[in-house]
Amino acid sequence: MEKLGIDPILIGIQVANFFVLLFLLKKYLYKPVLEMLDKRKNSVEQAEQLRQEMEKQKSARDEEHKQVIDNAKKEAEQLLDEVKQQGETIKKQLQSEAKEKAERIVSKAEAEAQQKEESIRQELANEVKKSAVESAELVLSQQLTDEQKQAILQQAVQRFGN
Amino acid sequence: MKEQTTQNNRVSSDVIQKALSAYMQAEEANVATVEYVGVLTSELKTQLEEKIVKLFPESATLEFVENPKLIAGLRISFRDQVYDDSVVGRFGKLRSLTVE
Repeated sequence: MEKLGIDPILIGIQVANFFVLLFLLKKYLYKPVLEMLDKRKNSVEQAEQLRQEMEKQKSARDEEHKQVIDNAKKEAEQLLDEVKQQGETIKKQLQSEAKEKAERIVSKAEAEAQQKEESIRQELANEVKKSAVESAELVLSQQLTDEQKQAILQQAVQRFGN
Repeated sequence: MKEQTTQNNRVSSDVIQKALSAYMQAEEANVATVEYVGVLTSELKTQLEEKIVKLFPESATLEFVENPKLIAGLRISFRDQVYDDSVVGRFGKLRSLTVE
């Protein structure tokens, strides 16, 4: 061993030194580092969990928000439809009423016109008849002879009291 | 006294006037008026008198008036009753019948 340049004592010391160093490193360096790494790992995991939780919450809120918006949109659409329908109904009703009113006015005007026409026609007919009677009366008053008047008087006397 | 006499005379005059007026009205009410056109011969007159007395026994007197406005025929009025057989009357009836 000595011929090979190997000193067993030195090797023994170095081995002992190695184990001492290993012990010291393990006790004062590895353990805190490992603890720190564990803590770090835990912290990262917690952060990740928190992130995931927050992500879920955000997703749920987004979903809820979307749901609310969708509901609001649906309600708004329904309301709009109802308003449109009501508007349409009112429009139709107003149109119908206006049409009926117009028809009534036209009908009344026609009736009045017809009545007026009938009245004018009647007045005209009366005027014609009156005029005819007056003309006949005038002609008769001028054309009757004394003999004819006497004959009429005699007939009238005969008729009286019979 | 004199005033009293004057007043009594005035009252008597009023009463006489009212009585006379009432008498005249009564007389007028009993007159039957015959309006005619043409010559009313004594024969026609007699016929009319007989018929009028028969129809209106309460008529005391008859009054005959020629009225050319009738054109022809006759019209007899007694109180509120009128018998119209004149041409004018007939035209009047015709007018009232034709004019609506």
